[in-house]
Amino acid sequence: MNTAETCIILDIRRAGDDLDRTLDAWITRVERVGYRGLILDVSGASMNSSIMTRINDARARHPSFILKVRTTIGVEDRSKIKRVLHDIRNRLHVDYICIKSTDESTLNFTAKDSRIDIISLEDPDDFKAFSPGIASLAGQHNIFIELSFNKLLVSNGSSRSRTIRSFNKIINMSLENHARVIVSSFARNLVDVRGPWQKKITLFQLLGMNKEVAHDIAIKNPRGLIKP
Amino acid sequence: MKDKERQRYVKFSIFSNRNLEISAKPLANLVWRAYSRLYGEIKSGKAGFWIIEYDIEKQEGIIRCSHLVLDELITTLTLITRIDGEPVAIDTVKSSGTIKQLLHEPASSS
Repeated sequence: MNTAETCIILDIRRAGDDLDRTLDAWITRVERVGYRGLILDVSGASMNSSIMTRINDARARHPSFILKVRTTIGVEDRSKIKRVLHDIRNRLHVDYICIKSTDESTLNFTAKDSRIDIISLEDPDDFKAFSPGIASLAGQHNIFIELSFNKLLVSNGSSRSRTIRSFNKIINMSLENHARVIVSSFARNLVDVRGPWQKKITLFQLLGMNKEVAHDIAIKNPRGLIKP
Repeated sequence: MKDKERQRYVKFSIFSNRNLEISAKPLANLVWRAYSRLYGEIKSGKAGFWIIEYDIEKQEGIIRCSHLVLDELITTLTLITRIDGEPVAIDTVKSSGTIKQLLHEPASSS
């Protein structure tokens, strides 16, 4: 299946000297469940030349696999956003910039900034800051709205019901305003990854959406992100 | 008119950091419990699935179910995150209407 897993959280400092082996293990795992690409989230790590070399080495070891890098920036204060985003790609050396905020005006501002690729809504506090206006701006500026599949995996009972309700609300808001949604795994361990087919069916079942929408969210949109 | 019930076979593979010593029966019970929690007792009474083959060494197996509950079974397997306290992922490799097609399927998703 030609699609990508759009968020694997890699703690580069913890991986240390094992980084090559860690990268190979992630690539093997996501390939095994059916992905052809992977976006590593390296938030908090400085992408120095040594790390970039090792990521490039992993790309060379797996030539048919697409390996990209992203960073997620949490911004709570709109007045700081311009400074945070200044020259961001050259400073951070990553392929994708993701923004996370619990502040509606910050999300509103970033939803029309072409430097941003993804608005990440990982936690319930982030959900509250999201609005139809933000979805509309994100849709117009080709910015993806991201939810966390891990939230569905780890929650149970009423907590899962609340997550499902929030997901439905955000997905409906995004679809009505032509913004593309992705549901990333936010996996920190290899066992947190699920294949695109399983993701699609689980979204279809739990969220009660139609299969075409579930297909877009689990397969088509991640493919669009990794191969624009 | 009601759709006639047909059998579906799902090949699955358990991914974990260490080998699990769980046999087919307790695994089936675990899947039943997870299904029942998610879809309720009434639905689980009608689901009619069973593990018809399971290799403890390879941690791979085949579950038979009605085609009416195929998506529900896949969702249940997806949402299982632990077996005997050990973090796991149950990868569904392929589903088919006949068991023959799954017997030689490698344990990676299509």
